[in-house]
Amino acid sequence: MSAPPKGAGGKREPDGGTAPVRLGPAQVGRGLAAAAAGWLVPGLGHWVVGARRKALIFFAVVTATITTGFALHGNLSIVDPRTPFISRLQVATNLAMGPIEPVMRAALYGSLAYRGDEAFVPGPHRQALERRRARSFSTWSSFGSTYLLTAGLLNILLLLDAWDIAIGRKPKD
Amino acid sequence: MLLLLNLVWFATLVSTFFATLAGQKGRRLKTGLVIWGAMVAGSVVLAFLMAPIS
Repeated sequence: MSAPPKGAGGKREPDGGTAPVRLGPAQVGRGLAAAAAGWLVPGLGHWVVGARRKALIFFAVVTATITTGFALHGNLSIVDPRTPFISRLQVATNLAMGPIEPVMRAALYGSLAYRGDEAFVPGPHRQALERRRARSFSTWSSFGSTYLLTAGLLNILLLLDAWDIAIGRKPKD
Repeated sequence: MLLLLNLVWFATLVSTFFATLAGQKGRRLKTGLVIWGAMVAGSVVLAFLMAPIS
């Protein structure tokens, strides 16, 4: 891993580092690559920037969080027309887990149902939403859903951290 | 009992995460233990305030 670029964390600015720093295309590319890798597999962003010990810990923690949510019959969020803003944020948080999210959704419900109003339209999404509803009757389902949302939120923080390390704003260990 | 186990497990996952993410090198264990303790104690206190055992 090369030394951090000047002006982006490797060297303090005269004002204490609060001045905006213009990032070069290479830095942006490295940052985006790290963040994309982190989205594909939790912790992979840290692995590619060289923080391998952290990467393993993050992978283990996020995977354990997802697994616990799955085991507790947690549900993935859907866009609810009664609360469109907050439910969209929840869906986005679920999607922050990475490609595992649609895979889990398809495995749990049988189709990629993201919209709650499709419960009134006959078809595969309606069946999926009925499966989702049945799962929510489990005692621990709300706990499981919280674990799944937490996993997404943790992964968002990981993406931002991987970005910071990749552009040299933060040391890797 | 299962609720407490759930609390402890959740606190373990989250404190490990934040100690690794934000803790200074060499002080991560202490940071993690402080976060873990604060989460568990804070949750128990909050639970008691919301539904006190009479």
